[in-house]
Amino acid sequence: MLRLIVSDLTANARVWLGALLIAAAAATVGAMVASDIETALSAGGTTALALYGISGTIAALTVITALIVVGTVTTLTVTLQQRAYALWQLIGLTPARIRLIVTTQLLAVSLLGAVLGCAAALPILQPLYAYAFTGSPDLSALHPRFTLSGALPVILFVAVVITIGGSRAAGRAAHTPPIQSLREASLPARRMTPARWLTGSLAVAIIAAITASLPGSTSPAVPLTLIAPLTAGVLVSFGPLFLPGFVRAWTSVLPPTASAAWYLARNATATRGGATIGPLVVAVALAGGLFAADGASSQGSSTLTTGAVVLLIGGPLLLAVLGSVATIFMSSRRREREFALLVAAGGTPGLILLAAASEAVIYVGTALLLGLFSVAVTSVVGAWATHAWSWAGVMPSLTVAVASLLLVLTATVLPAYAGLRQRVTRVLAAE
Amino acid sequence: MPTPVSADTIGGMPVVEVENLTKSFPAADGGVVPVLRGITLQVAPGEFLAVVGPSGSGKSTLLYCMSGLEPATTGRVRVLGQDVGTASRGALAKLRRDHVGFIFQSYNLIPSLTARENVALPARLARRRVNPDDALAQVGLADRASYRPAALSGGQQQRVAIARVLAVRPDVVFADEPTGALDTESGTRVLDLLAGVARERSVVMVTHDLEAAARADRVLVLRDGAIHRELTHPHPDDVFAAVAGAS
Ligand SMILES: Nc1ncnc2c1ncn2[C@@H]1O[C@H](COP(=O)(O)OP(=O)(O)OP(=O)(O)O)[C@@H](O)[C@H]1O
Ligand SMILES: [Mg+2]
Repeated sequence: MLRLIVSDLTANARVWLGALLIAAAAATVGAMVASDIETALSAGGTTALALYGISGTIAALTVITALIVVGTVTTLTVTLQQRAYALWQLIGLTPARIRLIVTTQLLAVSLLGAVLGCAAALPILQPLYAYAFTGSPDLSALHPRFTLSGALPVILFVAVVITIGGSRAAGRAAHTPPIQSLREASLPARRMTPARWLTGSLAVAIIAAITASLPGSTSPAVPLTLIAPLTAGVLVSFGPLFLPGFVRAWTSVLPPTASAAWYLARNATATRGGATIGPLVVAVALAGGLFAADGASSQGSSTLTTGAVVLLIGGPLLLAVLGSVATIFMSSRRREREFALLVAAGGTPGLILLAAASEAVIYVGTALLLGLFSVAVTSVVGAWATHAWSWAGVMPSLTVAVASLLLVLTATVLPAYAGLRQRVTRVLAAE
Repeated sequence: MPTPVSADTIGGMPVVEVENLTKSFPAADGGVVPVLRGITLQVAPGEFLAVVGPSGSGKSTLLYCMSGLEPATTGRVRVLGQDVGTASRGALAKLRRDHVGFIFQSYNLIPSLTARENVALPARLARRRVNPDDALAQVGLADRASYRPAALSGGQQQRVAIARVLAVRPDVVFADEPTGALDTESGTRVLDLLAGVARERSVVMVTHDLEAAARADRVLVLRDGAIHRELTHPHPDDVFAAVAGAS
């Protein structure tokens, strides 16, 4: 069994590398939070109180983001390997055994990633403190602490989220009849699962509770900040219900006859874009939500400094965008095969690059629309609670979308360009 | 550079011409593995050519080189008069789009597109109009037009690939084991369709199915990367005997 685990890890290197990267990134961001708390504990006094206040917000934003991004990437890790599990079933492994193997793989990869991520956090903590707390001499003079007792909960959290989330997906995958998996050249369609219903409903309930607590609150900014990422969580959870239709609807701004590249990208994204779009929605919601909440509660006298923004959402934002890029990287083999088919059908190199670029535009465009919806929810709730409407969330949302677009474009177009140099026959013969 | 001319206009000119084609791949030890060793052949307009031979004899490699999907190591390949070794990538894409059809053993279809959309794809790339439903009806899949590949059986997927060829009407169709994954009945059905295509267009089919090969106008038996035998309008028994002699 150990040989099977190891050989599978190397055969699906791209997929597992993506999972490892996201486990590490989640741990690095988690380490920031843990270090805030540890540093506050050791500092004591008013400094500690200030730090506690900040770290509570960061912790909440980080946990919401990590659950969505890490959950998405983990499920993708498993579903991308559905064919392998089918082959395992055909050589006689039971579904229970397959689930055990996959869970072991996930545990190993998540532990390794989390440890690496915590280690990576060590050298950046001090400069981050110095930068984020520039405006406050007390805080910027602090020496950040991050010891084993801070790292352990982070590692545990990352490992548990990945292992539990992945194990459920693995259970489903292992019980899919092998013939069905082998026939499906693409991912199985994303369906609503009990876990999705549960997390989606839970997020709605939390949003309702936050909203109910707002009237009369002296500091509505912090709870308001959580509303956009939570709304993003609701959208991601219920994604299978509406996302394909939503993508097809807004992308029909360009009629199918206008551009073959757009047409291809549109279909591809509608059927398998969820994993990439989800983290991007969170990214837009984090940035737009923070500013919308600040705008509503500060009534024009904003106190958000760049340092504070980086401190509050820098980590989660990075995790979300990385997560999205990782899903593109992980599923690149499938994209290669589609492009190879297009080349065989007479698609020009230009068409293929344009299709890859269109795919990036559709990912980010969809995420921007859904992210803006989350930000609008924040603004509406904020206006209701504070009687002040704010447009402050719009520009940051657009900024994050543009920055993400550059990264996502790189992630789709560069591999497509490299793929053009590969032999079509090699790609089609693989597997 | 000569622009490709359609088979309708070139009269008796060969659709595919292969001259002294060799192909080798780099080997793990740093040397090269010769796979095709000097092949010369021509495919006439409307000809149905089958390529058979033992596993590893180079059939797929020959098909890919003939169609310009793989570059030749030495020698020359012309498709509709155009040298695929010297043509630009854009010219090759245009040649494939307008004049060449492919049927692979599997993974012929784009998963995110329905059967109808897959059939119409090459025409869409060429900004031409086709009637995908007609073509799907010809292969008996009118009722599956809006299914995606994942919801179609292997034989149905293969028939969609043939419908694509029927819709686009390329001058030459390259098929690599189009019946390889099919049961006898669906295999026969796919072959009937291909034979129908070959009445007006050229078809080059690689196959292990010797009965199927015997339906072609001409059968090439490959052995160790060279043409071992060539049979014209063969009886199935002759094909069996020739292949037995090759392995
Ligand atoms: N990309 C490649 N790199 C190295 N060797 C290759 C490559 N493609 C094919 N070969 C080798 O070329 C030889 C012929 O392969 P090819 O796929 O053409 O055989 P085939 O006749 O189609 O066999 P089969 O009937 O099993 O499909 C094989 O020995 C194979 O190992
Ligand atoms: Mg072959």
